Amino acid sequence: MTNQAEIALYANLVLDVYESQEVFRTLLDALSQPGTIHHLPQAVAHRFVPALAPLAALVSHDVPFAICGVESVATSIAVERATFGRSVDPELAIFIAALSGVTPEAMTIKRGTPHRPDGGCQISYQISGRLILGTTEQSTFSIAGPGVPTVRTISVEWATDQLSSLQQLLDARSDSWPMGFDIWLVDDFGQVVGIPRTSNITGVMVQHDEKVLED
Amino acid sequence: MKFSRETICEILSHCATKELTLVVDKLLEVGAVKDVRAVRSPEIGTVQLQVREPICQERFILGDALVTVAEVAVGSSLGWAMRMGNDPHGAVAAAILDGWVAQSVPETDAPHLAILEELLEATVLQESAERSLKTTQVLSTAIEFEELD
Amino acid sequence: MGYAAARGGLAAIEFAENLVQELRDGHPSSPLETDQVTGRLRLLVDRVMGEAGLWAPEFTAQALRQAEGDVIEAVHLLRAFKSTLPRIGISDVVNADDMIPERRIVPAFREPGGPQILGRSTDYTARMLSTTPRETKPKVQPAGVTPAEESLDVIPPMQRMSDVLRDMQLLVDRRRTDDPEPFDITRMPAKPPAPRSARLSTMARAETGALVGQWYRNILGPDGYLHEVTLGEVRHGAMPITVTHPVTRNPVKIGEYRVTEVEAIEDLDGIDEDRTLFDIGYGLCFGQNERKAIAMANLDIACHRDGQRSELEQSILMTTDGLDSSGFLEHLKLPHYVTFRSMIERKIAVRQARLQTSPTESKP
Repeated sequence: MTNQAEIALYANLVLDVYESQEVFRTLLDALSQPGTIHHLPQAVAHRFVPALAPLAALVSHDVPFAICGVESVATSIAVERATFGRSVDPELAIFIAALSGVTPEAMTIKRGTPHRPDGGCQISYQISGRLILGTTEQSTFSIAGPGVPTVRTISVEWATDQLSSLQQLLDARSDSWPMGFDIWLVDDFGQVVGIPRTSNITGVMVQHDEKVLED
Repeated sequence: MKFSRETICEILSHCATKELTLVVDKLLEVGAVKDVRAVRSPEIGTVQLQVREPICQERFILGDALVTVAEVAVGSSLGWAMRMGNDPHGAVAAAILDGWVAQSVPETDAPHLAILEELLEATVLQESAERSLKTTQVLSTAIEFEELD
Repeated sequence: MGYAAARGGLAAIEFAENLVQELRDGHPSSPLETDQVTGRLRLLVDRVMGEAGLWAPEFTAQALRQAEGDVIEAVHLLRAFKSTLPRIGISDVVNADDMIPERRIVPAFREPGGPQILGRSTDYTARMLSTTPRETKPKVQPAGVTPAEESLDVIPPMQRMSDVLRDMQLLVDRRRTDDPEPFDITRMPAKPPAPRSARLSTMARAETGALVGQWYRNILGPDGYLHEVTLGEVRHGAMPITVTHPVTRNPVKIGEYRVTEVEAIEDLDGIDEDRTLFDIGYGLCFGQNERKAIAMANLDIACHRDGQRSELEQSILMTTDGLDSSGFLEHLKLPHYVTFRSMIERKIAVRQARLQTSPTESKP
C-alpha cells in the first residue's frame, strides 16, 4: 500500500461520535432482528471496505481485534491508529473482520465462558456482492430463532468464491448457547445482516446458478 | 535540521500554544506548509501511566494523564502531536509542524526550517534557564544534620 | 401517627441546583480563576488528582471550583469526566529512578548517598496562623547565608536507601524476574486475594484520610496488623511521560507529572522471617501528598507480611476509596420512605400481636 493510500485509509477509518453512534445502532438492530437487512450510514459505507465499519465504530484501546484477509497487516495498522485499538491474533480478538473470504480458524474463535458469555467474538464478514431478502436464483439460507417471527431467507448474490468459507463459518457455530459468536454479514453496498449466536441457520449455502456472474 | 523528529516533538511539547500557532501561521503564509489535511481532529483522552517500582521491580498503574492528540497529513507525510491537558490548537499546530518537518527537503526548505529552528532553540534555552533556576532553588534547601555528642 | 407517601419535587430540585449556582457564582468577591486554584492551592489540587486517578491540573481546578471546595465532590466530577474520555494509549513504562527530585529526605540515615533536600516544605515551620497581610510579610533570609551566585544545573545523584541496604546485604530480595501485566482497577474491581499491582493502584487512588486512618488504627487501634516503620526515602519530584510516536515508533517525551514517593523500612521480627534482614514497603501517588504516600508504603509492607492471614487487604481494597465510601454514606440522604414505612408497620404489628396475647401490657 502506498503512503498516500495508507494515510487515506487511516483518515477514513476515523469516525466521529455521530457516525459511531449510527453504525452502532445499525449493528444492534441487525443482531436484534436477524435475517433483515439494515444499512450502514452512507457517509461511512463509501469510505472503506464496509465490513470494517464495526471495528471503526466499536474498537477502542481495551478491545482487541483481528483482521483476516488481503492486506490484513496494513489494514490492521490503520485500524489501530484510527481507533487506538490493539491488533492481536484471531484467537484473542473480540472483534474480527473477515475480508476477501478469509476467515479465522473456526476452533480458535472466542466463544466466551459460561460465566462470561459476553466474551464471545463478533465477526464482521465481508460479502463481495449483495445481500438480498428472500429466495433468488443465487445462494440462499434460512434463518430462524429469537427475533425472527417464523423464518426469514437471505440470498447472497455474486459472492460465488466466498460461499465455502462463509459456509464453514456458519457451520462452526456450535450449539453452546449462551456461549458462541455473532456474525454480521456486510456487503459491498453497506448492507448488514445480523446472525446472532441464538439463530438457527438452515438450508445449505447452495449456489443455484453455477455460472459466475461478471460485473 | 539538527534536531531529530522525536526531539522536535519533545521541544514543541514545551512551547506555548500561541508560539506554535504563530509559527504555523507564518509558514502557511509564506507557502512553506501546504497541502494540509486533517486525519484526526484534535481529541482529548487519557494515557495510562505505568511505573516500575524499585523494590520488587513490579509494574503498577498509577493513574491516567489527560492529553490532546491530533494527526494531520502534510503532503505525503503524517504529522502527529500529543499535548498535555486540553489543547486542541496546540496539538494541531504541533502535528502540522511534525508532518511538515517529515516531508521537508533540507536543501530547498532551509530558510523555512530556520523559522522553526529559531523557535526550538529559544524554547531549549528557556527550558534550560528555568531548570537551572529551579535546581538552584531546590539545592538551596539541601540540609546536613549534625549529630549531637 | 399519620404517614403519607410523597411524590414530586422536580421544581424544588431545580431550584436547589440554581441556588447552589447563584450563591457560588454570584458571590460578590472576585471570580475564582483556575490558575489561582492551581497556583495557590496546589496541594489541594494534587490531592484531588491523586484521588481521582487523573493528572489534569486545569480540569481539577475547575472541578474544585464547581464543587465549592468539596474534595470528594471534585473527585467525583473528575472521575465522571474521565469516564467519558477514550483511553488513547499507554505511556512507556517509567522507572521510579527517572524522577527528577525537588525534595528528598531520608529519616533513616543522617548521611545517605546524595544530598537531603528539604525542598518546598513546611515540615520544620512553626504552626502559627499568619495574620500579617501578604503584601507586608517579609521574606525569611537565613542568617549567615548568601544566595548562590552561580546557578546549578544538576542535582547530584541520590542512591536509594533500598539500594544501600541491598549493598549491605540487609534487605530481603523480592525483585521479580517475570513481568506480570499490572492489574487495571479502572476496568475491573480488585478483590482479595489481589495481585500487589492492584493493591498499589488502589492505594494510589485511595482517599487520603481513609488511608491515613487505616494506617493509624492499625498502629494504635484494635487491629494492630502493622508495625511502625522507619522511613527510608521520602521524595517529591517530576516523572516524564513518554509515548511511542506512531509514525517513527520511537519514544517521545510529551510532558511531566509530579509524584510523591516513599520507601518504608520494616524491621523483620516474625517467627517465620529472617530477622537479620529488613524489608521495604513502597508508596507512590500523584502530586505532593506525603502523608498518603507514607501510609501507602507502610500498608504495602504490612499486607505483604500479613499474607492474607487477616482482613487487612480486604480493608484496603474495599474501604479506602473515597468515592465508594462517601457515595454509600450519602445515599442515606435519599428518600427511604418505603423502607421506613415498612419498619413502622412491622413494629405496630408486633405491638398489636403482643397486646392480643397479653392484654394487660401497657401501651406507650
